[in-house]
Amino acid sequence: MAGVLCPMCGKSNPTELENCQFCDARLTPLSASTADASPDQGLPLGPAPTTSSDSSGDLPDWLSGLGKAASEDEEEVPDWLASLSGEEAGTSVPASAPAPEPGLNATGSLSAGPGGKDWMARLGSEPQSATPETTPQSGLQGKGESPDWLNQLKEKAIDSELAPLGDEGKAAGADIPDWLSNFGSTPGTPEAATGESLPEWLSDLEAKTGTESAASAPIFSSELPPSSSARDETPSWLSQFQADVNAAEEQEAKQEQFDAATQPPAKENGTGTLPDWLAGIKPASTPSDGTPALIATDGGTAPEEKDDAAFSMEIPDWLSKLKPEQAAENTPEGDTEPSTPENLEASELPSWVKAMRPVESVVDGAKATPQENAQVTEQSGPLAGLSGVLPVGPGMGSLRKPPVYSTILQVTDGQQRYADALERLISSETQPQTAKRAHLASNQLWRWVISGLLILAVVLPLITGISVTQASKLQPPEMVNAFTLIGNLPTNAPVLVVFDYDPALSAELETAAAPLMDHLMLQGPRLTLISTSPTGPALAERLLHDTSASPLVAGHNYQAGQQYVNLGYLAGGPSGVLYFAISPAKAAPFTLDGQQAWQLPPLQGIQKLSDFAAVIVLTDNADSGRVWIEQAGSTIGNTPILMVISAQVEPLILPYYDSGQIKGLVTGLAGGEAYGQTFVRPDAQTGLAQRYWNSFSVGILVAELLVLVGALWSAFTGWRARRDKSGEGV
Amino acid sequence: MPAISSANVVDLITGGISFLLTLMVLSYLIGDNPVFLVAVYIFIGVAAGYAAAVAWHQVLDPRLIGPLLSGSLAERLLTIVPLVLGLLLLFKLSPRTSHLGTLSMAFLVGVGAAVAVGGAVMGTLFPQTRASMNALDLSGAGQYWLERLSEGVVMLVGTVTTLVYFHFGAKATASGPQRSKLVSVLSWVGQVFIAITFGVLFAGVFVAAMTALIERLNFIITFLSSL
Repeated sequence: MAGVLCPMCGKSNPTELENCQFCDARLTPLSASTADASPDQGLPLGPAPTTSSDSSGDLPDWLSGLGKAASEDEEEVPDWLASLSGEEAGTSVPASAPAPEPGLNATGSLSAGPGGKDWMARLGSEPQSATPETTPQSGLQGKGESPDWLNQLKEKAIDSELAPLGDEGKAAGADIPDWLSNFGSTPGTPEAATGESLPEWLSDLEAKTGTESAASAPIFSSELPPSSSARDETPSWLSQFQADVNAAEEQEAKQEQFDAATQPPAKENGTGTLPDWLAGIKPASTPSDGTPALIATDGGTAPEEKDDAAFSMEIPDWLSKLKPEQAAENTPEGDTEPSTPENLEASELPSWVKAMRPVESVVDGAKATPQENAQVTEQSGPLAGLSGVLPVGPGMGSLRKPPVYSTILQVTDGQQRYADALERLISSETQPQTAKRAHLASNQLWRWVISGLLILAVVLPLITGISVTQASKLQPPEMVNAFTLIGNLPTNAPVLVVFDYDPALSAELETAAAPLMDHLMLQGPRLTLISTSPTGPALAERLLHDTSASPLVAGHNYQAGQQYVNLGYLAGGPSGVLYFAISPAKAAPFTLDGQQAWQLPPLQGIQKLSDFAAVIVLTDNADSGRVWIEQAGSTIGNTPILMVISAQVEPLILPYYDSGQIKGLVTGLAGGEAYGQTFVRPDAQTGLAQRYWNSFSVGILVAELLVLVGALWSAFTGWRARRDKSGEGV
Repeated sequence: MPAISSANVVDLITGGISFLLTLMVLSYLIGDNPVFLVAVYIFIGVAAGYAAAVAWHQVLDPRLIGPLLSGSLAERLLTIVPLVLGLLLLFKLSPRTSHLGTLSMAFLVGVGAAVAVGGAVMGTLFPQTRASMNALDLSGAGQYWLERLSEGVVMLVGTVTTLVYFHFGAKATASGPQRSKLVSVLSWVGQVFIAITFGVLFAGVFVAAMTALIERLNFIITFLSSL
């Protein structure tokens, strides 16, 4: 694609643009805008492009003379127009210029009549009416050599067509405004600058037409398209030849554009490749007079040139010798887009050369950053309208992508081993496992069978009254100590009884405590009842008065307020127990029915916990028993602590007996039965412990048998499973 | 036909209710059923209601409301402190105002922790340690010195091996972390002691449950025989 390189940023722009589409810099000089377009538009007076002159140099003389014919066609202008040319070049157009032809009317530039103002105005607005088709002709016109027959034909046409104009041309020339009259004297006028390069045929034409009206003729002729009448008159062989010449011109133009793109812009801006007249007007028409020298230097140096300089330092000789011309030879002819250095780098550099490139050339973002910076256009100040002059932000260096680090985790062997172990552990969790067969029916059946056996073992002794087992002859030492302590209590001794058990285990505690309480109440003590459980006071009343709980204890018929005091519920847990141990009267001042407890006879003489003759704790909870031991142990003095506990807490309370913190212990039904066997009432009555003993013994025996059978069955099934598994393995 | 006294009627009603509730609980033998759930709900509701009644009648009314209404000035002033702290605890019911009850909770937790730790140290840790050390003291054992020595040895071995079992330190080897052989043997012995202890605990629970079963079946027999 042909284009014009911007002198500021060095980028390619379409030829029809006057300003750079990237940096908005002016592409062509202000005073030479028309002359700059001459190579494409075929200005006859403009300096012919080098390619055109080169190509035309190969043409034969007779074909070069076609330029004169074409110039003769262009001489079909009114005399007033010729006078313009005369003012410019010192020649004059004949006053008898013929009327404009239809072909000229098509352009609208010569059909305005003698007045000439309208078409003059339109002429200025349609400077691009000259089509590229005129380029070959202009090229031909550039050469002043034409055959004689063509010169004669030109003279005849001038004589016959310009004669009717008469003095109108002069009148028209008189109507031309001053600014237009002075136009030809501007420094940018091609003729003024390159008058010596005029072709001969044009020089002859000027000589013939005189010096009067030829001032503006070259200008208008350069802007006017070739006469349609002249094209109509062109023979077919000439049209074909023109097409061939056009193709050659286009090819040469492409080659020229490629050369211009590959060469440094500084050389392009230099006068070496430009015509002399354009070189002469270039400095005067440069719009960037105020541009700082530094910017001009940067703008004049293309990025590709910098790359070349960088590559010249490291690339081998053979690669440095690779000229753009050589690269252009490899470019396909059909590729109309000029190759850029970036394309050459991306397509032809071998991999090892690519590896040698700097990071900016490898990382796209790093290379794109300067381009993005170049797009920033200054909005104010002397640099207004210029792009890429200043960096994006003050103090910011070149933006680069951060270095890329490897994302591979570096682990040691130990860490890898741990990771593998964790992976195996997780994988084992996610693997599906075969669900074990559920024998719900069998379990339910076994539940009923076991329940039936236990109920039967319990009920039968209760119903029949048959003594299956003998009375327990075991006398645990802790029970014996409790019995001894109770037996040694003096008459009417104050005893504190703590009921810290729940109704769920009241049967066991009542059965275990009944012999001890019966033995105690036979001593006639003053009882003080208290509980840290909300249900404790009610259970205490039940034990003392309910015959179903304990007929022996209820038989004593202890009276509240007279023989015993129920202090009720002691709130606060361990803190309450500690408070009661320190100050019993303040911790539990009232009885269960709201009376002042410490004024009642059972509590007479009691000020502190050590004033009690004994403390008996009935509990089914190890924590509750431990709280009384821990909190009351430091204030109880020599007062013994006895405990009646459930069988389920015996392993946790027994160590306190071994340590001497509690002096006696009765555990569960077995302990109560043993206590009952030890303590024999005068009337030989027995309590519930003895009544329950048979059922208890049978029930425990059945349970032990069931446990044994279950253990054997489990062992058998396990052995069978292992045997089956070993058989499958074999 | 003998006349039925009011006491007998009350005993009959209460006995009947107890009988029905006992059967409802025993219905769990056929699986979880609504009858069993009703019995459980009744038990929970009655227990909670009874606890609330006890708390009101034995704590709030005589220890808080009574002194505020009819107590002396000193009693009233002293009662304001627990009253305020108790009211602040009510703000714990709402998450937005729960921070207002932090002071009361801090007081309760702080005092409770101090009392519990002090009691545990002075009432359990030191006495139990001293008792363990005296287990092998044969002075005063007399003719039962062998029994006393055996008991002391069992206690010592059981205590040491149980503590060793809960020692999870191991050395890193090529095949993974492993205990030393001595620790492994001792921990195995400790594991035996722990298993025996759990067995004893389970036996105690079973014995307690067996006693409750016997008492309930005896009640049923007695109630049915009294009809």
